[in-house]
Amino acid sequence: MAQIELLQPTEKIKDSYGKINTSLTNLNNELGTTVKQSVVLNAGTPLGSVVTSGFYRLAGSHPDAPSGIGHGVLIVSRGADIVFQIVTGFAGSRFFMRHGNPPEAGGSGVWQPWRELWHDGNLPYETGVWTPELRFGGQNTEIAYAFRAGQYTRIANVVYWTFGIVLSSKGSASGTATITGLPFGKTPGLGFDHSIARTVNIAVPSGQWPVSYIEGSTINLITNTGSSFSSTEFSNDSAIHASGFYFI
Amino acid sequence: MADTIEKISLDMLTPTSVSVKKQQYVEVNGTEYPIGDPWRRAYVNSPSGRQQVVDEVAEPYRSAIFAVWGDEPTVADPVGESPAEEDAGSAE
Repeated sequence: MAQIELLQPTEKIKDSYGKINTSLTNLNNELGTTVKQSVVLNAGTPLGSVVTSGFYRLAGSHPDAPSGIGHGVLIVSRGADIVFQIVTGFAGSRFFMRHGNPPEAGGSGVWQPWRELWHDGNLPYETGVWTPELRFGGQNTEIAYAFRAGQYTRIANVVYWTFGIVLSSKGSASGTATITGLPFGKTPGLGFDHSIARTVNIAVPSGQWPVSYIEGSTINLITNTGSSFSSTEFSNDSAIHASGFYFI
Repeated sequence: MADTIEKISLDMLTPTSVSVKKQQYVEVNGTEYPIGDPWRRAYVNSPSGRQQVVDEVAEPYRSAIFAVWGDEPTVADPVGESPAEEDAGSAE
């Protein structure tokens, strides 16, 4: 087997106490008698009938395999009447596992359902930073910051975002206020209104409160009645802190 | 002290948007290790989004984006409308 050929007969391995207790030559021999090369399962072989511990190559599709899994590899681990299987196809990095005590293994139960294993290939996860940028009427002319920062965490198709900005100058642009720079573009659909956690030195009409909704990669700043904020409501030392989520 | 390398990648490049990712790496003994958090900024294929790509994204990434986006915007610029109006339309 390939892994055995890579071993050097003269090398030694140590146990956790540093004692040389086994030569790799001996380990090779031991492995050679206990670890078998993979067994090819003909197409159509029910995987539920494979209850002997070992490594199996799927030659085709199999009636009780997870949907879309074929031409892959099956690993079986059995202890008495309890069997564990993990299977993967030859492409797509999809993995499924199941266990049970079916009659095929001498048990009196059944196979539990296949469960797909999630990993960073099929359930993207990322945490990072983004740079919030205030704009009025789409422009950021002479806007300056005493502080600004943004963070995000993406899990699958959901992006959680937060940001804080503190102005040192609101600049000379005019028009509706927006925050640009979100890390991912939002899918079309609902606007996902969010309450803005905190504003400082931004004029809000009495009885109203600031909220936001996302369009593309832009956070629109409005009041709860739907009125937009503009540069006139901002001061040179305005601040906004907010968080929310959206779908991508 | 090892030099840091900044790598830029275009993620989720579609006809309507793209997410530009920047990540710093340090090379140690020929192996690159990411350091710090990635930074991202999304651009939408709207008139203002296209202008932001021109202003902020360097070549060859800019050309790669416009190769997919084509010559015309596919998304309107944000107009600051009431979300209640937008939601009413999208919920139908």
